[in-house]
Amino acid sequence: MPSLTPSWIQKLPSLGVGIGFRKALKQKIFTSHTQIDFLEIITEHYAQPSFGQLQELTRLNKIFPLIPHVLGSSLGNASGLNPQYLKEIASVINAIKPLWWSDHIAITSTGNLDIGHLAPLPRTMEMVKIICENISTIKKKIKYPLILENISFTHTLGGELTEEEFIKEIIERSDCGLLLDLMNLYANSQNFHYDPIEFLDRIPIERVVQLHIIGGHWEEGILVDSHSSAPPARVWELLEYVASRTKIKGIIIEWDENLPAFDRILTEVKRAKKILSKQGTLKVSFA
Amino acid sequence: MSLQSLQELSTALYLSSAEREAWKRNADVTANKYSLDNSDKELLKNLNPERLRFYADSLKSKRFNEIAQFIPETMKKFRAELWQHFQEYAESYVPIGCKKVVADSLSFGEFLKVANTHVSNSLTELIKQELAPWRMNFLLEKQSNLYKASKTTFYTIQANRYLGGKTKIIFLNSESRPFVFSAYIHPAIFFLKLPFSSVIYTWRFIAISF
Repeated sequence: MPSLTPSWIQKLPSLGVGIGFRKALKQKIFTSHTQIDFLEIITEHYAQPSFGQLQELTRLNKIFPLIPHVLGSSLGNASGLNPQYLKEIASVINAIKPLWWSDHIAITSTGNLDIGHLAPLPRTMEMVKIICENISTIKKKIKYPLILENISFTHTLGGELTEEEFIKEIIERSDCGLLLDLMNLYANSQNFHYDPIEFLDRIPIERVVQLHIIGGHWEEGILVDSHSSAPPARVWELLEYVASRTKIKGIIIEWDENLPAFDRILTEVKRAKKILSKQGTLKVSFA
Repeated sequence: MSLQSLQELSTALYLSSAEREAWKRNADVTANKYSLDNSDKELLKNLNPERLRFYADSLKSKRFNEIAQFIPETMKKFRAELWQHFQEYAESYVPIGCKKVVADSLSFGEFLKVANTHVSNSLTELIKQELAPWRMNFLLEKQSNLYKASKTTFYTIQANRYLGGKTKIIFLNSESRPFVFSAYIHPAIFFLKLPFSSVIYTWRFIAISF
């Protein structure tokens, strides 16, 4: 049976397992560079860079494959993309020349108001059309392959599509890859009471290029994707399941808060590498 | 247009507790204020007020935690008091753009200065000190388009030749604070007999002319 994976995704090299670059981890990352396959950087940090930031970026780019991760472009903005913002992130991404780059299926601003974080979109076909138009605009400025991340949310705005259908429509219509955040999926499945495996079976899993894994915390009965703890057991199980279903090109351990000793992060990297190394031979099933 | 209105309203609900209260009191009035049509009103019926409040609170604490990197000492000593003021401040100003975190920190500093009748003096003094280098850095970076000068090493060598090594820190210090660079650039301005206000242009001149 022919693969459903688009040829441009098939051609992408496998990067292995890396971590999200954070300033607090900088020295440790450089000294442990042989154990980290690639880094994900926050694109906005290097927009309008100081000389120090330019030097840092140049040095990082020499040592590691870098994957730029965009936080605030607001792809779902119905009033269109901010051209200045777009110009600034494009200058960083085009300078890095990455194998791919990533953004979110979300909104972070409307008009002149910045929400400050990723917010969910109404799951309608009208929204699909708008986000695909915005992606088309952004692809004209940035030629490198774009992959889109599923977000976690505490509330929804409804719509005629399910979350899986919404993701599928956007990813396939815009011909993007998927950055599957397994903690986001797990948090949503807990907060909205559904089975994450069924979710995985309904999204275009063959378009998964990269994964994010990390842990969060519980607050007021809500599981928050705070990037503040090691991935929980269920996230590792989901990783094994995805690895058994499709060829993953890269995994990022996305630790932001409550940073542990660096060795602990490296332990998680090793664990993810072990799972990646078994790709194709895994037979995972969930009752 | 209709989705645009829906997004404007949902953003207002995320950012303003007054809007959330008004929404809770009478959703239709708020929806009409944003010219929502019936289908959009239907969509918003899915919004759970408690979850919405949770999300709004998380946005504020996220912003608060992000600015901590610019004011670590003030955070350490006055965290509780800062959080109290920040909640009020966050309702009145929302930063935007790629450099929004530093803009947010500076703006919060300004807010505390203006609201100083109920802010302790030691807090305003400490935050002022901590934000001073960032303020200069932010303004200079905004105005001088330094990022366009990407051949850092080349400029360093050339600038060192021209100014007898005095510009070394400007280019090589990985966290080049403007006050450090100012200390080195001011004698150069004096030597060249340029007015103080031309510091930005001198900096540009040095950055682009080699």
